[in-house]
Amino acid sequence: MPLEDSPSLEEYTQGIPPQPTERSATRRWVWMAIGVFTLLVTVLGGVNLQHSTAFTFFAGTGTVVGRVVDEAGGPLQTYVFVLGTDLEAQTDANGRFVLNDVPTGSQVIVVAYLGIGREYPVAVNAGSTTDMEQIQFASTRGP
Amino acid sequence: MALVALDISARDMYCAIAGGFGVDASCRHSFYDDFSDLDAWDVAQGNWRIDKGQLCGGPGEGRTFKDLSADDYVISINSATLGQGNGYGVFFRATNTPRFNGYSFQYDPGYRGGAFIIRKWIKGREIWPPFAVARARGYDWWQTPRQIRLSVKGNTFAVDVDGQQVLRATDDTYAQGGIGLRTWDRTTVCFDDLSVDTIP
Repeated sequence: MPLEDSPSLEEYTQGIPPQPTERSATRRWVWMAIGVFTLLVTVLGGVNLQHSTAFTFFAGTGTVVGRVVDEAGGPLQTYVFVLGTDLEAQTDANGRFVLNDVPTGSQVIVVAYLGIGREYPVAVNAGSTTDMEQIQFASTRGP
Repeated sequence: MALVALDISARDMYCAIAGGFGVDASCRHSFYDDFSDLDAWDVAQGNWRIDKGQLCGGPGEGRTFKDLSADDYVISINSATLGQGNGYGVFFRATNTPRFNGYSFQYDPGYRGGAFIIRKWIKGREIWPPFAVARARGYDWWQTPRQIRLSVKGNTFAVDVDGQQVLRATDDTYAQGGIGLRTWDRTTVCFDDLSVDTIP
């Protein structure tokens, strides 16, 4: 601060002059609003990123394998989907399937046979293979 | 051209005029069909026909759809009469037809002695078991015209039959999509006057 702008001693004869409270309060509110807005943008951006393919790319993917059998334990040739994605596979003659590039986290595998589907939850870890082992599929329309 | 620029369709214009005189029921709804023809419907499968101003389906597996770009809405069927068979279904939030994802409400005397159910569909496959079941043994399922009202709002679905709530359920899988009707097995059913009203 230049010397000429410094307060003179006369200004302190009645004690310390009052602070310009109104202006600083306004400024405080502005900064608070900016802070809240920044926080909001960060949170919403994070949520958006979590649902994006970029997040899947960074979070990684895993592989899900398994074997679908009928109620008698014989291999079943079915379609297998990952709910909410375009991932799809068919079981081979032994009922085995492999689903690659499955997004990590909690997923639902859908086994479909003769117009019926059944859901099977699975946890997928990045870079690893989750073996659902044997999935016994009831092809009758029963509960 | 100016109307296109203002995003006003010919239907909007017509309804703005006809609605003022209260002469066209279709203008009061997002979608309305009195079943004078099948033009509004995309028949994916089965035997669907117009009979005396009603849409009738069955027997056999039948699916017909009406695409809607909507998320929350109420489907109202003024009259649905099951003639015979194991039941009929009303699809909602259906997308990517005919190999579609979505839900169905089913008026289903064939399910465990009779029940109202809601189930999920994935790529045209019905998911078992249904995620909502209200059993109704001894209900008068056949030959009785029923008024169906299906409310779809957020993740919550509620079904009224003849003004009485029979089922309420929640699911988060599908957020939007159109409607449809379903028959299966020996079912014969006729529907009269169907409307859809979006929920703001």
